[in-house]
Amino acid sequence: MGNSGTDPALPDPAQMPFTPSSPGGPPPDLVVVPSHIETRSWIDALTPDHCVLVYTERFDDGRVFSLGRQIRIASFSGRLIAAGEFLPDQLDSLARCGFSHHLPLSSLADGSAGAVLENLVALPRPAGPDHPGDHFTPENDMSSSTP
Amino acid sequence: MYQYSQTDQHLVDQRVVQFRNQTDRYLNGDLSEDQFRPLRLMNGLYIQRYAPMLRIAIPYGELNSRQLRMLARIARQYDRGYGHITTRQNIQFNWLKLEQVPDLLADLSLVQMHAIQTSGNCIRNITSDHLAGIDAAEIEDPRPWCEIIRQWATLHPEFLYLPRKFKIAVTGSENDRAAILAHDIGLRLVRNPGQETGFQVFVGGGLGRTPVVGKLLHEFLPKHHLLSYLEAILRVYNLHGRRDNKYKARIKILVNSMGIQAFGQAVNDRFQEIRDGKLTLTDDRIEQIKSRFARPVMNVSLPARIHCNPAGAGRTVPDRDAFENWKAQNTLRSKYASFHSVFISLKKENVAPGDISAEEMDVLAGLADRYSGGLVRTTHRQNLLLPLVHADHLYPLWKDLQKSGQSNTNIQTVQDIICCPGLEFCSLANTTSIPIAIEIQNRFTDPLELKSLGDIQIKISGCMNACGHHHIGHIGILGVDKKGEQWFQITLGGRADQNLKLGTRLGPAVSRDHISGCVESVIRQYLKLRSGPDETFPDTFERVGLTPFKEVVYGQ
Repeated sequence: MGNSGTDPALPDPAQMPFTPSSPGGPPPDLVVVPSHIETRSWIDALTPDHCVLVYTERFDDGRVFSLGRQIRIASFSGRLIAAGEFLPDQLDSLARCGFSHHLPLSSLADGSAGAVLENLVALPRPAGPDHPGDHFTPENDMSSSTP
Repeated sequence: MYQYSQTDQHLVDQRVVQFRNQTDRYLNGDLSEDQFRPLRLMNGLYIQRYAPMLRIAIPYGELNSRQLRMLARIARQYDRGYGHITTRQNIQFNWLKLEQVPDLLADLSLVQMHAIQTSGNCIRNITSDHLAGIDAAEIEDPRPWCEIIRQWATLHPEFLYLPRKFKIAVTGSENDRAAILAHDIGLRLVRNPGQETGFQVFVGGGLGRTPVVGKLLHEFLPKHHLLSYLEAILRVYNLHGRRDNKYKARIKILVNSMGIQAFGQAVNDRFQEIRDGKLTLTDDRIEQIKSRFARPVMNVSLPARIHCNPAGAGRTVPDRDAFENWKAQNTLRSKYASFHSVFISLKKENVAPGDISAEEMDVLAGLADRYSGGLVRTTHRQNLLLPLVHADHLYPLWKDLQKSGQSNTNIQTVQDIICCPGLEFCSLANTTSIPIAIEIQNRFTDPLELKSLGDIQIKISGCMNACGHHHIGHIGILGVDKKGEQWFQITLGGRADQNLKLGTRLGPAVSRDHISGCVESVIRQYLKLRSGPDETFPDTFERVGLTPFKEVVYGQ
């Protein structure tokens, strides 16, 4: 099940930039979250089977990074995707904030969940010294998995 | 002074490589102006009125002589031979070429310096009391805490794209010399009844278009939770601060709109999620940071040729009087017996407040080596400080400063003006500010008069962004544009100490031609009104109010 209206605890699908559908098979448990979402109760409704996609239209929208942290702090261990036109310089920070994958916003134009999954880019484990605030642990490290 | 670890050096080196790559991509057209802007700002680089300006971090205002010499070299090699000390204890260079900035940063990294997060919408340089660690009255040296915060805030992956810039200041003293209540977060080291050290946490202070005095958020935060609590504050701000209007994006606006209680609750909710986590500061970690602050080297044995007789035998009377006057005005006793802190004024005749030439930097680096264990500090009031000078060396130091033209006896006088770069350099400014400061300074040049006036703090900003802190000046001056002409609003009664207060607007703005004369009138009126030499300007203002000052400015 996705957040296509079946689970009231998850974000309102009306806020989604597209409607995930997967004609070739069952839709993934994709939860789409806009960066400007105000509530956080939906985080507690996530299960490891969900795949969470946080999207923004601006590369300098810092809320994405805090949302990633919030979701991981709530012990979500599934796939966490940052969707937006991020700069290569930002991918390290996204990974350190708990994101496992990145998705260029243009990939959402297709409008299908299948397209989302096909265009995912696994974030590499950050190089260099750990930061005191890193939230990059083996249990949420999805970078070795394939989309 | 803090000594870099390998990790610190690696991080700075990597950042140089990264910024060189970003600059190349921009110059090659691979990054748009919009994309490059936050990247360059995060690295201290502004595009100003005439040329790129680079702001270099001086963490909590502490420099060594090697670093000062490097800044002198940079001033000569990449700029026009001088730099500018800012109110947040950093240094700026105003005449750079963009393509040379990566080389400049590489040079800086050789002496453990950088420009990381000195601008942009991120956590800026942590500032502190310029007397940190040497003030007998402080509860604890705040510098290790500043360093702990600096390491946490530097390239923090979550907080590089905040709604707006974010400033943190720390003091360890009850006498606030770091203006903590004018910061997004102000921290004051305190002890609880059980003699444990912790922090009073203030939030939502700031100047700019909407000046606000910081509000108390936590009465006593145990020191082990400092980073977890700061992270919680920043997370609430990052998620909920406004991003639709940059003039309403500072944390003070969020705190005001939520109310301090609701804001505190939101912070506490986030804090509870992460308290006792890996951001918890252990005693070992705290001690590790403290141990990286090299003990100050106290110079007590200097070559005989520069020793002097402390009793003053052999000096001429005028010489002795001038020295004693300088000593009284420009030095303070430190907590170390026989050692004084010596202020070097950067308020010189017809020079922009805070400006220092490459030659002066080199001379001061030498004097720091000779007299102050190689240490120099920058101050909130845009001056320099040699933190620990032995009492026996004050006279030879003064003589050396005289030779290099750096013995101005105007610390904490009406000449010790804080001033933004203004229209001369800044692309945001409405009006000039440096020439106003110089005009006012030139109206009060008699040393005896300067001394009798006491510490009247004049602060000048050339626009609403308030980089000159005019809101908290005893006399504040704000430049405004009226149909293409420069006018100036005067505020009175502000103060930047532990009783931080915003000034009250005197009345209608005055013209460019009249502003320095009006300020002189206000000061002369204060002289008439004060109850005695010990009554400060803000105290007199508090007692008599606006009316007598209006009378001399507007003739009412």
